[in-house]
Amino acid sequence: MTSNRVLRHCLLIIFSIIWLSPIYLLLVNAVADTRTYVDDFNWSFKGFKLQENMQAGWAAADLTPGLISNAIYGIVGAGVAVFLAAMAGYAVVALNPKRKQLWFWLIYGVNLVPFQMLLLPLFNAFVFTGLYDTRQGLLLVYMGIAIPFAFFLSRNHMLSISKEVLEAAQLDGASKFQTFVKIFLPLSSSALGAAFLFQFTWIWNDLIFGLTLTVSPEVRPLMATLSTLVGQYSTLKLPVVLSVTLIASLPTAFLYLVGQRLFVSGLKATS
Amino acid sequence: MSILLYPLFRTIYTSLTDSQGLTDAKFIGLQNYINLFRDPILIRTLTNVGIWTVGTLLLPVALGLLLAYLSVGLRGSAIYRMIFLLPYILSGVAVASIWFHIFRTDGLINNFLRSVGLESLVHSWLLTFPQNTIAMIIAATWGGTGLIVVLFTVGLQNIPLQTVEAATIDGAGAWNMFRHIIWPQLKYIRAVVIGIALANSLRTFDIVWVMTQGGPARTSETLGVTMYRESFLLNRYGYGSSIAVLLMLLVVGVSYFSLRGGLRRDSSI
Repeated sequence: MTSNRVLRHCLLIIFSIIWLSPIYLLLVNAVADTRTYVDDFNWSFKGFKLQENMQAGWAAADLTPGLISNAIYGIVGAGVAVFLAAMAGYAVVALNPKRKQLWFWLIYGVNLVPFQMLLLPLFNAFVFTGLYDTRQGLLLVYMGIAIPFAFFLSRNHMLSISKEVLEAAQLDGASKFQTFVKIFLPLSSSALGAAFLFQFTWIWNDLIFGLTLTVSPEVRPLMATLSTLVGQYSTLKLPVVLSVTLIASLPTAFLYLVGQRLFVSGLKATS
Repeated sequence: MSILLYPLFRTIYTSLTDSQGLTDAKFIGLQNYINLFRDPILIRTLTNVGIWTVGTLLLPVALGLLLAYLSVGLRGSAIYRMIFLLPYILSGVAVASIWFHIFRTDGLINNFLRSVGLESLVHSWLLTFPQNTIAMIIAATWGGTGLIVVLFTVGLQNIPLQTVEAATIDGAGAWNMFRHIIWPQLKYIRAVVIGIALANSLRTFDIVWVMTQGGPARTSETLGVTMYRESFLLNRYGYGSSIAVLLMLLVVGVSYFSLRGGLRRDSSI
């Protein structure tokens, strides 16, 4: 039994090393000194010049507006989406609407539609309504797309809340809205937290909607700006490009370290 | 809801027109679909989609199950899970740019091969089919396996301990334990994981767009990339829409069969 455990640890350590090495490559090359850097992406440590590299990156493309936009899209978009999804989950689970299954599939089914299907009509509708290249427009899209999966998580979690809790609240004279805010929201906080983390990460990392629905630098999300930089590694020095890529990933990395317990516990109540 | 449903039907309608964006679109019936199936590129694109699908089942899903199975119940399993989940928080753009420099012709792999004297193995990985698609599947595996490990871990933790203990008392070996006790009880989560993984791989865009832009000469295009190119670079909206519809039919079909397969096994046990 013990030798079995040792073997499992050994295998996992091997895979962990494989999994960490591209991250190491990113780090060591993102901080490399550009003055001595010849075009070689490799393992060796070549100085620590993160700040200089970042400044050079910012000079090529100012990423500050993209970072600010992304913070708005991520926090507001995921926050509102999770709240709406929790309400929808509550409605389907506790309020006993007719055709429960139909509502579930109608909301969840959107998850299965490839985003590419939405691009063209959204593009046309946005040009028509003046939402093209505005923060409000893009925010609306992110919210709409973030709802289904958040709904899926919150509904499954709310199904596990026992019927007696709901009945007790009704006996005590709580209104439907009070029951939602005071009982169902707090009880499903771990699932909703996980949903927020997932959807924030997705919005933060989105490329395709940013590319198609925006042009101006104040509105463009980070990844769309970044993707144009990534291809310029021959004109810009490679460490410059990589340092910017690294910075763009720090906010999600931070959130994930803070809330990593939620990833497992929030999903656990789900299946 | 309507913000998502309206575009859906609008795309289906546009796919039946010759829309170019500026002029009024004329209704042309199924002509776009006829053109699509006559397009020699479609075969290559569908081949790539096929490689992506098989590759996704073989690599992230199988690897995710293996890693979850190895780590569950071990001391420090949370640390392993964190490591595997790290690439998930990186954007597709970041994942693709790291692997681009590993695979490009004067990148890490080829430099390494030259330095150890294996010049004969040096290869333009991203410039030839099908190596470019396979290289991108490896990048996607690195990025996507972590989430699958977490999902399978949740599934494994939900298996009642009594069943495992009973099998241990009966003297079941490791393989029999997995085959007859663990595997059948994972059927629900397995359907969910396969559904998510396949839907994601069918609509792959970020990684291809950053690593090869579908090239060279469109050899590594997937349906998601073809659709983007036709619609937004060539302004052939009608034709692009018909590709989007084909893509949706594929995703919905695959999701339906993977979920139904999971449920059917459910009722037979």
